[in-house]
Amino acid sequence: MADLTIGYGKSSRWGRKPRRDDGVTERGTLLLLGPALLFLAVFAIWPFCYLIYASFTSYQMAIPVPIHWVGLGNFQVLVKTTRFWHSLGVTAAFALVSVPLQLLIGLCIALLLNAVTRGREVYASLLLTPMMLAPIVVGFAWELFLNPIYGPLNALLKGIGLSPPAWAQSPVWALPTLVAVDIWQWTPLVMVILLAGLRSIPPRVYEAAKVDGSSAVQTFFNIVAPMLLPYFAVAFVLRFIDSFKVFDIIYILTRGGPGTITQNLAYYTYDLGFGRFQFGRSGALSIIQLLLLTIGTMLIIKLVAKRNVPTAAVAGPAANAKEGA
Amino acid sequence: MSAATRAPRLPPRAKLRTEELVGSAVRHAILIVLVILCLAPIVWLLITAFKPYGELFSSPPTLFPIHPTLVNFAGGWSVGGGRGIRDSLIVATSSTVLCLILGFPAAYALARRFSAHGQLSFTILSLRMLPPIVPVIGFYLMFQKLHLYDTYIGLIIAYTFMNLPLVIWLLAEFIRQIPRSYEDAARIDGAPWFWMFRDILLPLSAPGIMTAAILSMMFAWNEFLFSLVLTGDNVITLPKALADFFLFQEPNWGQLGAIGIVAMGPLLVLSYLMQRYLIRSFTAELGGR
Repeated sequence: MADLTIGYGKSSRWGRKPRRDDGVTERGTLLLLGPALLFLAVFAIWPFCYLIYASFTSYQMAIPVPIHWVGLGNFQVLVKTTRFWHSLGVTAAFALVSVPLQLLIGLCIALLLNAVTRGREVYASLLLTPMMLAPIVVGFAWELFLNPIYGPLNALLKGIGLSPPAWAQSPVWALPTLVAVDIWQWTPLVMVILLAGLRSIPPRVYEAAKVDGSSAVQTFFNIVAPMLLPYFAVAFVLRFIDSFKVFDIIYILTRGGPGTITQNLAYYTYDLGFGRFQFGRSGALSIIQLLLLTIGTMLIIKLVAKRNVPTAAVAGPAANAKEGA
Repeated sequence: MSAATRAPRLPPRAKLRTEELVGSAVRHAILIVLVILCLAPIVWLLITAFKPYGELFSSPPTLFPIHPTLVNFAGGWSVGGGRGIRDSLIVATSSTVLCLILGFPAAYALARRFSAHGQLSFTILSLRMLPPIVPVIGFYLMFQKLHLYDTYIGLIIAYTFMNLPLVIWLLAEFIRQIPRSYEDAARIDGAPWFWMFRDILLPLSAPGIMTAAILSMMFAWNEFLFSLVLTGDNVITLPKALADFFLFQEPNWGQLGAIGIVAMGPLLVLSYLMQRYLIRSFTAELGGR
């Protein structure tokens, strides 16, 4: 570390090139970055090796039989089960139904907020509440709220003469309920990203459009939408990645049930690994998820952003969040 | 942007004014409904925390407790909430300190030597994109071998792994905004690196460190899957205490609501104050691109 202190511009005593004008030497960089990178590398690679190893073997913790190599056997068995395809469908429901709905609703709310002048910050703060909460507490709050016997929602619906279902406990409504809770919790994130995008459009753009006689709808599609696209791409990719992480609300609200109806890939992986201790299959399933997530994310980036997601869009929400929120 | 402004000839001023007012009223009305939708389940949990046991299961439910009580807070504390808060505090604080000790030097080097959109920044951040179920299986198998399963140290390692990429990214972004000339000036004056760190870098990046620390605390505090899988009866964090409490006992919603409020209340207030940074951290996953 002493190397960091050597006078400005002097050539290093280690015989390397003189320091660059950024003031940190090669060796200094290594010393500074080393511990963190080592930590991340060790705890990324080591467990990952276990995961790969498990996914190619008949690793079962509860059964004391010797572990043997099964090659792609775990993957083959998985692909043949209907439970795998069903859980893939549930994950797709979050990724391809919940996320687009979040984007749509988030866009509407952002446009609404952008049109409001008084109290925008207060509204935005309050609307952001769901995403600030621990998913586990969100799960409990909804479990209580939707309870068919003593929950307020069904009492209200019965009060106006409807016969509401048992939501999370009903085979038909369980998945839509989870999707709704996911939308409820994460639309605010989409909203705040898009609001930051809208706030970044200078008012004179709208004024110019108005002077040219462009209607509100025309202004939106021809001017606002293209300028919003990078922000939209950011929100889409973020929410797509996160849609694979849905676990806590399923664990609390339905436990994957009724039966296995609401098990997504993450929950099925958890169930295989820690419910049945079949770490071989569980590992294989988590690798499948990783591949799907990577391919899906790449596709979306290609689709929405054509090139890479522009940096400005990422810096944008961060820099403009204060303005927007 | 009312439709009336489309016409090149402006309508009479009074009419425009009325339309504006109506439009504004409609917008506010929709927003108020949305706010109610956003808050309703949470407020309901809050109300429930003050209901005595007899009122919890009444059907139809009472909107406000008829006999408001505070017994749920004491009950929730002794039934596992206190234990959960203690363990969560231990794990979240330790992993945050570890994140900062490892993360600050790395962030400094990253900020001064590497591009914000380079390969290294992206690689570090991409670790945060992993769905937690993927690393958690590897961690579980590894911890079984290393006897770290169900220990504070094991969970602290897991949370540090989870939060370190974000802490590095946030701090690096912050340090990039500190003018390099301050450090250069100190160096020219011959200040040893530690002085430069203590007298210049640390005070200037204090807000960034605070932000990173609070966010890392928050994520560790809220995290559920890691603590569910990597711990048993020895370490019970708050989310896990809540889940156990719910799934293995008769749900006493009053106590559950009370624990939820005590656990989430301070955090929620904090997050209102820190919204800007919180949003930044959620969008961080793409920051390396």
